Amino acid sequence: MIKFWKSAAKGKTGCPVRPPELKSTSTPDIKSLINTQLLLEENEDPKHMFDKNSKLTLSLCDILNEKKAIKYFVQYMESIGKEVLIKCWLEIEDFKIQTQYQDSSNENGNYSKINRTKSLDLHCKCVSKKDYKDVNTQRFSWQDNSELFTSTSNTRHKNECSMSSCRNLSEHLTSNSSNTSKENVKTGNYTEEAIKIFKKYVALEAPFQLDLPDSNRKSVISNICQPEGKITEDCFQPVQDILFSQIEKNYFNDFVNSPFYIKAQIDILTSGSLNLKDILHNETILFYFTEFLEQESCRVLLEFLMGVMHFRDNLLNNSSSQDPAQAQADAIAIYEKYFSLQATHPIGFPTDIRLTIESDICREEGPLPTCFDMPYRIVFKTLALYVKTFLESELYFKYLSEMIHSVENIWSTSHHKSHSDCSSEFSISTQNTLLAMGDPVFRKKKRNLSVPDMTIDSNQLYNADALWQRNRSDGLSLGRVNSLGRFESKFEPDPDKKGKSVLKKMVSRFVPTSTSKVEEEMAWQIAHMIVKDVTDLTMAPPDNEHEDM
Amino acid sequence: MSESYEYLFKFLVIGSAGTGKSSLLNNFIGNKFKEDRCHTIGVEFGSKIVNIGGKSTKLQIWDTAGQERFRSVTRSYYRGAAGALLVYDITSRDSFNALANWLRDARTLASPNIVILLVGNKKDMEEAREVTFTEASQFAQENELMFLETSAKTGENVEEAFLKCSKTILAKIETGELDPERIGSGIQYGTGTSKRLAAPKKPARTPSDCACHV
Ligand SMILES: Nc1nc2c(ncn2[C@@H]2O[C@H](COP(=O)(O)OP(=O)(O)OP(=O)(O)O)[C@@H](O)[C@H]2O)c(=O)[nH]1
Ligand SMILES: [Mg+2]
Repeated sequence: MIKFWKSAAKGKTGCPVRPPELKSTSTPDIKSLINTQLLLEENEDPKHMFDKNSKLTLSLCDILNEKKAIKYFVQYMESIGKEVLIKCWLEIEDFKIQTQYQDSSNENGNYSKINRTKSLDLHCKCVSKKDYKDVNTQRFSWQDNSELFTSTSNTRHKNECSMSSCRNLSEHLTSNSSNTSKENVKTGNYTEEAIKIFKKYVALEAPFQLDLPDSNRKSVISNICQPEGKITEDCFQPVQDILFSQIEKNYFNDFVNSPFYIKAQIDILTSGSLNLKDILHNETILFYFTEFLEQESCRVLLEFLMGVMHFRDNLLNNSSSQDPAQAQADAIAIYEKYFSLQATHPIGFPTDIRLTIESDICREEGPLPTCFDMPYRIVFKTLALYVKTFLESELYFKYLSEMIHSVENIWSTSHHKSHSDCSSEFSISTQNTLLAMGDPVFRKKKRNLSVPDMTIDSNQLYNADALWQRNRSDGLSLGRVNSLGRFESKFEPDPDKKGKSVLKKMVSRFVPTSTSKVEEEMAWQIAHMIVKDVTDLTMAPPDNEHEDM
Repeated sequence: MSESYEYLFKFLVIGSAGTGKSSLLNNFIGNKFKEDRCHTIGVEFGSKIVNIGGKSTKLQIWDTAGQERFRSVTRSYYRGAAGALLVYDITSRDSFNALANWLRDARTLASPNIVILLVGNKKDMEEAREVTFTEASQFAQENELMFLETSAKTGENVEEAFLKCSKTILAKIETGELDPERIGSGIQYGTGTSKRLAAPKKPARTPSDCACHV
């Protein structure tokens, strides 16, 4: 009979009725995993539930055009000696914004704004929606810092120096340079700037060579040498295009696999909370979330979301070549898995939803891509509630600590050789939010034991200073790799040390040097939660695991 | 009460439509074989705790859709998997010919350390065989894959396939070739180990493992 319902559906012979119930074994009172009250509020836009972007996944476009995590990218490029590419990009960007600022103060704002959007479009689909004021506050000022470049030009092959210029870069990236822009408005002349950039990067004899094709150089020259003397803001566009594609092709993937990228992600994690979309569209955290959902016995909800997402995307993206019979077969596969009374993976949708889905699947023209949207929204909202508990779960902290670990592990393998003062492999002390990890004796002892017999005085856990002292007696050298990748011992005199607890200082290393107190506080709280979580775990008797459901 | 395990591995099952990926997963996690299984839309999850050399290891298995029209979406799940079964159907030459494409996707999208095992499924249908054991072994050898023929119907070699792949991953952890704590490795410490809070022995790294190294 089930066969019949299937073949009937596949064979376009009108609409199959609900499959007859063969077995009475399927209990209609399956515990529902969802709460149908969780439907949308009237004014809520359900579209965002289908967006595919995660805060945790940064594209080159996010970084260059939206300036997200750009300081880490600059640091990365410095570390591989390719900073000239990103510096040039940023100088041109700054030039554009400056030009735009002047234009708009000359009431030509609209014209240049359109231009800017166009030029972004050339690179990628994500168009900066920021209005010009926003853009202006995050503009980068390189012009008034030519000494930065002269110093680098003399010594740019020396690693040490490129690191110190990195500090400068980072500072400039975050500094608000409104002063400069005002000055430039007064002078009202940016031809000089254009020529400066040209001489520095584009000219044949330029000190910073970008590997530009001749045609490219020529088109920049003709852009700058306009007969009316008017230089447009996008005169360097050909250069930016080349830079973008060079970076994307040769460097971006390595950046994504570098500790700099993970650091950027840690910043994101500690600067606000994640939502369901951020998790669904970042494979790394999704691995942890999936395990979490399994522990909560509702992994099927995730499976359902993914199934509907695929169903929907497939129909929307290939709408022209779609065969209604195939769409119907897909819909029936989803129906039989999650909705039917004999569903193999029942979610517990109420009867009215099931009936609506049945009739939507059976439309003469085949089901619409949106036919599961309503149950999707319910499940999405349900899962969003699980995100809250996930963010407080052991698994989330495991994720966070592995992120941190990855940064320091890569650092320590790639940098500690060059820093002889680093006597321990565990050179970043953020690790020590996980207490015993940095303790070599403890580590050795524990490796072969499956049941932990940790005996840590809980007072010690909450008294950070005592902790570090405890570690020190084991000969662990505490220190950190600073934002420049350089190892700094904690025990060296440190002028800003006073008044801050050690742990708090550790936490400040999670966040960029210039971020606000609020973000630092957030990072601090997260680290504190890690410590608390570890305490709970280690203090609890072995069998005392949480068991929801 | 949740079972405890020492490691959690993310596993993928990939390969052309109808080769029996979902059937393999279902056999592995103890479900009955079904003749009329629906094609997969999206991802089907399964998990199981297995014992490998005395270490209880949990596998989080992502069984992906094989149909070409879902390819673009399923590719996004490759990242961060520790192991993969690459499945073809020994009764379908087409599914064997498609392997090179699947492999290229896996090698470019998944982590470079991913351990892949080639699976020739439907071993029970000897009379309809289109791909010989020898030529598949050769393909496996050329591409540095492990290889097994299985039957999701009779269950032959199904568990072995998952175990063999897991063993290799574990061995790589022990030699330090894989660092479980490296984010994106597709490996997590489990409930059994998280409590011990111990870092594993320092992996001996080759320069090429270091992402900073360019
Ligand atoms: N005789 C035999 N049939 C099998 C075997 N494995 C799978 N099948 C059958 O092959 C068909 C397809 O199996 P599935 O497991 O759905 O294939 P799949 O790879 O998951 O397909 P997609 O989800 O579309 O990618 C089903 O009818 C199964 O019953 C096997 O080992 N022997
Ligand atoms: Mg399948």
